Amino acid sequence: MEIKIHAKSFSTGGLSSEQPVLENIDLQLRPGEFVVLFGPSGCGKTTLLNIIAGLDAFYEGDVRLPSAEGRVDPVTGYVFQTPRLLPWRTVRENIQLVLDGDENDLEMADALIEDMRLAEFANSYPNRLSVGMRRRVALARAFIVAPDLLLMDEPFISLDDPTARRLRMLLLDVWKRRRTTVLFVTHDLREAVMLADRIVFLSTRPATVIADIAVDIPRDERHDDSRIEDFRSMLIMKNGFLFADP
Amino acid sequence: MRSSLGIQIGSFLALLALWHLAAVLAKSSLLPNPVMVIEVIGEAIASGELPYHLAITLMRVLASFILAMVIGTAIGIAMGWSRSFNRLFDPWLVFFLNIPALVLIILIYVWFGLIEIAAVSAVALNKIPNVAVTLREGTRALDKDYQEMARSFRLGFAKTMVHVILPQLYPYLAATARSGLALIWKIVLVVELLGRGNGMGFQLHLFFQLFDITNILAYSLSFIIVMQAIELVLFQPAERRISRWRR
Repeated sequence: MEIKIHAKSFSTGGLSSEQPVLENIDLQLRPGEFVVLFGPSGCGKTTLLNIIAGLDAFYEGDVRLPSAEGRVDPVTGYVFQTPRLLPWRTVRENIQLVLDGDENDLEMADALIEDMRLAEFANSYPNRLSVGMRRRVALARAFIVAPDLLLMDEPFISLDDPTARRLRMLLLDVWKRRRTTVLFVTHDLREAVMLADRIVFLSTRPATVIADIAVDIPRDERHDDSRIEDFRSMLIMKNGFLFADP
Repeated sequence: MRSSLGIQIGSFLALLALWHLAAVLAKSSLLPNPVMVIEVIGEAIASGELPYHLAITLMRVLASFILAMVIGTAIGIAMGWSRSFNRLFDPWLVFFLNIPALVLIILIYVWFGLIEIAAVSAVALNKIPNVAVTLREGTRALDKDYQEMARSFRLGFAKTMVHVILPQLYPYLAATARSGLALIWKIVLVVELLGRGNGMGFQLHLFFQLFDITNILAYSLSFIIVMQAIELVLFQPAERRISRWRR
């Protein structure tokens, strides 16, 4: 999986015509790898994800996503910063919506709903659910399409710590069973360490890759907060420059 | 809910009582009392005349309503979507919004003759600009976040329309459908009065020439009741169904 972006800019509408956002970004993702994009707020991480998702065609570069056998186009699953569930559709309908809708698909949807402990809310409308629950549904919707690449844009932001932690564990759990390549954006280092096989550090605007660090904590020790914390301190000690947030 | 229905019925009955009192005091054939009007309604129903003309008018209302909603919605969405399309056709919209209904009706009758299709299109043409303006607002207010979601999951045009776009437009569609129905049936009567040989408008015109106030009131009252029934049986349940997801 190859993502190369030479340049991306926004016109600000003001006097200075073009504002560069991304510059020389080169990402290689191995199949089944969990990669976290870590960078300061507002550095252009969301822009990068939108380009990869095909939502933004105005950039210079090349995005090549492989697709699973039997697929013409690669399928991406996207978990946005806000859940973006359709409020006028029930949880089950929201999840089924992104499928093609044959018999088999619907059974699959119900299996996943069961899997993610959403069964009891399957017929509820999203705005009757807690914020954490909505994010869980958004997660389910992204997994159900069996994506070739799963994009996640700070999906657990603005949740209380225990809820966010529970959702991270759930994500790892589902990801283990429905393995796919993940590109996860965050500016929370603890979250990055807990989830990632590899953390790619982005600079401030215009964003470019400034470091690429593997996280070697075994998967079955990720629930251990002290391991996460140790790794995090070591990272900050050795690579303090990465966190010099101007 | 039940008590508010009670108040509504009571209020309606009070209006009838007031009317009756006025009729008794006036003692004139130009102001018949409610009992006489209800008797005439009974006779007109028995003779089949009232149901016939009422049905004709309702068909015209329905045809113009559907025509106006479909075309108006399409134009409104297009204008809300595309700025250049909007710039191009906004003056047209302003023009048609401000043409008096009567002028449009006369012109269309003169150009196309006193035929059914001319009558129905004249009515629809009067409502299309209103629908377009409302739906243009609705389209401009669409949430881009949902469209991004639809695109990233490749929902395709049909699914995006049905599940993402239209539900956001429902409040606008409901508002314009309501006001549309009220406007359309009034214009249908004018169209019938000017150029059709049947329907409520034609009958009212006839009774006007005969100074038959009892029949005028009988026809009007029946029509009001039918329109209210449509509101209660069709519009309100549809609206409840559509908005049941709201907290």
